[in-house]
Amino acid sequence: MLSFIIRRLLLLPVTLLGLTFLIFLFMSALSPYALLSTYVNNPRQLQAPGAAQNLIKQYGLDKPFYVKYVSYLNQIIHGNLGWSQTMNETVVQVIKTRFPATLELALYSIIPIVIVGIWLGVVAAVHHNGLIDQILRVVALIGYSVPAFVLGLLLLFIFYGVLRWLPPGRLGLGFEMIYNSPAFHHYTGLVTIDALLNGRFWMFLDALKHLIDPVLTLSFLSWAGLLRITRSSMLEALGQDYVRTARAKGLSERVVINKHARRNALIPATTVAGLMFIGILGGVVITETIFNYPGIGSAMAQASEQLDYATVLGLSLLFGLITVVGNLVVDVAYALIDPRVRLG
Amino acid sequence: MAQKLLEVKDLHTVFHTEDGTVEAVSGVNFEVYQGETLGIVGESGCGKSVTSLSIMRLLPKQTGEITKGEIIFKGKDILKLPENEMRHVRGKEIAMIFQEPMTALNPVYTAGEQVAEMVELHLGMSKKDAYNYAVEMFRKVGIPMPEKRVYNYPHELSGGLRQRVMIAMALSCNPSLLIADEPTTALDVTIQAQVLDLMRKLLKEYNSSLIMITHDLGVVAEIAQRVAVMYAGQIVEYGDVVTVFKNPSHPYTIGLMKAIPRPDVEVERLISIEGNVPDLFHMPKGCRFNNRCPYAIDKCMEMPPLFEVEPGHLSRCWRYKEIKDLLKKEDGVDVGRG
Repeated sequence: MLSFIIRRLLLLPVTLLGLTFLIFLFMSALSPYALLSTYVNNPRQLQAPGAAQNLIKQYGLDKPFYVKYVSYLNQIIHGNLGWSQTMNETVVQVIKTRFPATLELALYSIIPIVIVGIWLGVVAAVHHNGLIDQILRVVALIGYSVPAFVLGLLLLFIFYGVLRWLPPGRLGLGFEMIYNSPAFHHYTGLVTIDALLNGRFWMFLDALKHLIDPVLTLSFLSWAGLLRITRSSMLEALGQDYVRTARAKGLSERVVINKHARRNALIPATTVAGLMFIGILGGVVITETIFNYPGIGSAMAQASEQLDYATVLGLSLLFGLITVVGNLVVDVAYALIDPRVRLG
Repeated sequence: MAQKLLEVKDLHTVFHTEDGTVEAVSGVNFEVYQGETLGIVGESGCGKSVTSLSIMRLLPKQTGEITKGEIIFKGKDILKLPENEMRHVRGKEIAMIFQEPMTALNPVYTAGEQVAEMVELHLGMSKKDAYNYAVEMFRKVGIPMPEKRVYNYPHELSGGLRQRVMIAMALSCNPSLLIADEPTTALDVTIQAQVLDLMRKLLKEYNSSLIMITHDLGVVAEIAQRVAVMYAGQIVEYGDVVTVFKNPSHPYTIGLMKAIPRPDVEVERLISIEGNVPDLFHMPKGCRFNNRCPYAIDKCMEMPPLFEVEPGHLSRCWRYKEIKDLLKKEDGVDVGRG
């Protein structure tokens, strides 16, 4: 098991190199001046007469592509992703301030997806064709067919526009000021957790209130997908010979389902969870934009609108990185569940 | 005679399908005595596996149903037991070995875990004791290096070893009755013989009874004392092995015997029974074998009862008395083998 994880970790740098090369290829399509924005860390550098020419020389942008690639890698390693025109700060700074917000949103989405999705899938399979199964089937179908932007706008309309219960953004104005004050310690960057650590319970509740709508929007699709997959793989597992063996051993139905069938049903569900992860990254852009949630997704949308290449490319790199790491986690989970995978 | 352990009386099992309800087992009766082996023989789809699943009450929940009959085990009708009491019978009193050792073991748990969890449940052992017990069971069924093998996953074991794990599992709680559903069918011939030997040895040691379900009369001859031949959901011939093999009195049994290739008799091609087992939706009227029977007469359009050929030897054939003479007239080959 350990050797499996080490092997996967050794592959990680190779994948990342491939990722940077892909981003670099996109960059080659830019004009040298637009390209400069992905290197320059401060717009003032560009203001002096002839500065652009000097900078092009300095970053080796007139050199052959392999020299350019190496110099690009060098920039990334030194934590320089360029200047974001939209946010008016460096791209690295944009990521630093906004990524925790997205992480918070994603964590609150993924955890319920996995727990609720799998649990309901198992319940549906066990009550195959029963009332619960029929209801869940309809709910899953709705979740599967309603696009995130429709669901998001609908939720925004009902719970903010009409009922005024769940406002957009990340925090109410008062709490936002507290959050940004120097007296407030930022331990994790996750508002809900920091609020609790600072002993501010009402702020925690306010943050939760702001999270409900985006989390629902972001998770409904994946949640429905996982439910359906778990249901069908659980149904298949329940018909397997080893489940009959387990019953013949005199095990209780609870053990048969939760131990023998479910572990096997999780194998396909894990594969889908990996794909879902990528879906969520895409969903983040839409969801954060709808709810005006200050994460990297909304930053990505704003930057794209204004042709802010540096931000788009920098964030693409980050999205790629998250996908690669996410897939690594899924692979390890896969090996933990299925002993047959550990060999390969 | 030894004590009666299991008695199946007039068992009827049906399946509810989308195309209607079909009867897979229609009025089967048999007994199993303490320490003896009963062979149930028949082609695929004749209801022998359904019979065994009915005894275990493991029919598919939504489709399978026992509509009539009694299954008396140790003096109690287990069909009337509530599910939670039935669970104590399964595995502890009646254990089962399945046909496919490839799929009958759970791929995501170690072989030892799958034996140990049963021991933990029925014998109330701690996890550690149960594992040690599993190692002992593995040694008993002849698995080499049992201390290592308990930590192997099923995909790391050969078919023969997996079937030994199944046997170890089935015998681990010292059941009074073992049901083996074609335990050797999926194995190589040499492994088959080993597994049969092992089963015979262990049955003796544990003084357990066995119901051996098979389509292979050779296996029955080797391991069973009594045999029930099943056809289309009914028992067509029943008796002790020596008698039935010497004096087969149902055309289907005779057909099965003829179908065993014999090196001492030269034939141009292998002999088989013409046709297939009738599909459950279209049972022939009267005797269910009449459409394939070479000796069918008009009388066969009525369902024959089980006739007593000699004490303890039953046959469901109108012509059970003449069948032996008919055979001799036909080809002179004596199919009876003692």
